[in-house]
Amino acid sequence: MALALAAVLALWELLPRAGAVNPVLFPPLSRVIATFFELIAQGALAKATVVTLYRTVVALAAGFAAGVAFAALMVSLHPVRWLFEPFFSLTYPMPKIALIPIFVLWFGIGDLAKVLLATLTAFYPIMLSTQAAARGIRQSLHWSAQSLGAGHAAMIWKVVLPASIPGAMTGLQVAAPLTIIVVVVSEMTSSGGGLGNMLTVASRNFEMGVQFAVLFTLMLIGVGFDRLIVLVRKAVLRWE
Amino acid sequence: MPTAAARAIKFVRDAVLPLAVLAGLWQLASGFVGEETLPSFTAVTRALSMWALSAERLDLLGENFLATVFRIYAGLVLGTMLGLAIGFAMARFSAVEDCLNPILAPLYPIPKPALVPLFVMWLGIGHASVIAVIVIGTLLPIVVNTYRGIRAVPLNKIWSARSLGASEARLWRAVLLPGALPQIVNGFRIAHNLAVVIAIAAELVASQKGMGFLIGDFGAAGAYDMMFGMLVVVVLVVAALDRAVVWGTERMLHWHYAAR
Repeated sequence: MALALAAVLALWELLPRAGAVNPVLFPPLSRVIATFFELIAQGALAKATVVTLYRTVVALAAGFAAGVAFAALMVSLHPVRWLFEPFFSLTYPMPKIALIPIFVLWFGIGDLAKVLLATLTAFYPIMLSTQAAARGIRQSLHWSAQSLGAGHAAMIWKVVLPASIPGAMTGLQVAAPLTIIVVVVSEMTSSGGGLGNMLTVASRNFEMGVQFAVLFTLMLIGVGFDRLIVLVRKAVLRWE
Repeated sequence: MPTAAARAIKFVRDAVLPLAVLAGLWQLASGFVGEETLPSFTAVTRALSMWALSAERLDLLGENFLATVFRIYAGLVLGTMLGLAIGFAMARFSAVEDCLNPILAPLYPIPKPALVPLFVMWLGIGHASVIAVIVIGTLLPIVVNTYRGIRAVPLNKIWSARSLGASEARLWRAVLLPGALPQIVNGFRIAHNLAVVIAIAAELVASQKGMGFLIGDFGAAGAYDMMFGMLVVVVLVVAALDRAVVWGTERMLHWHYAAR
């Protein structure tokens, strides 16, 4: 029933107008929509969106490459796994945003710090999920490939890698929302553009309409990434 | 069953030793890039123990630790209770589902820490705004998983219970709840992780208390050894909380499986 949603939207319009809630702190829906289109017309929203999207996409791509490569190292080299496994299991639950002050110290407040921290965030779930998939390959697959005369390289390229891709894609699906969070929070804590920075500036200037417009944009981005990754998964994993 | 001694040896060999090697590498790297960029492992432990040995400073750490933990669990408990109620209602009454679905669905993809400035405006800086965002963030995965869990209970089980004369209350207690529990627990673990992320993010963005705030504050003050020290503390605390949740929920599920 879209009726309930319509009721909520109507209340959003009427309550601030009637003065039941402070219209400065909670602007009516019509004003939020007007602000949204104003920001689009000015180009401010598009500019910030491009910056945030760019950081997120670069971080996801870099995190994917690093995660899959490191997973390959962990699976094929026992000492690497021995050295890093307890470290990863200890640091996995920690929210990577806690590293923001350290990345700012190391890489400044520009693109680099934000993209690297987001890359690290994406790296974790992708690496762990790929590695789990690679380790879960059925022994019978190994034996059949071996008995067909596959060497070590062929084994990795033709058996282990294809069998690990579903895991890597699952990791990517988990990583995307986390990466968006880290990019936005990094932007919120320092200047350098992007939707998160727009949010902070708007809250400093008491521009609630702008904040709602940014949140709406972030919602669209979240949905967009989710759909996109499902499409990529389908395209890559035609056999699934 | 391996003996306690064998397990202790395995723990040292496969967990303590690699971490010690990494700490050694950290020490080397610090010597290479300099203490002001990467404080060495020994400098960080020294700073941490100095803070731990001074009662006044330990109080400050404890206060900020408790602020974060309080926010996480106050928000998580409220969000879980609300989420369970909404999830149950949505699974049971299709009218509730039709009403709430279009309202909750758009909230799901918003990165929750982005809501912090808005709630700071409404509720001020402090516990209330952080907890409110955590409630919203944790509520959604609980609702989704409760709803799916209940909907996934096989219909023949429900029919059998009904035909055996189970009342509505009995049906919920004996069939629907236990059937949905594994999925609800799954949602709870997701919600727990999210609560930690939101708390730390909120404390970095807008707060004057908490472990996230301390990391930023030590960094701003140039006390890099303590900034890294707090990071180590956060890693250990969050890992411990995560293990506790996994352990606790596993026990809960075992009890339910055994009781069936």
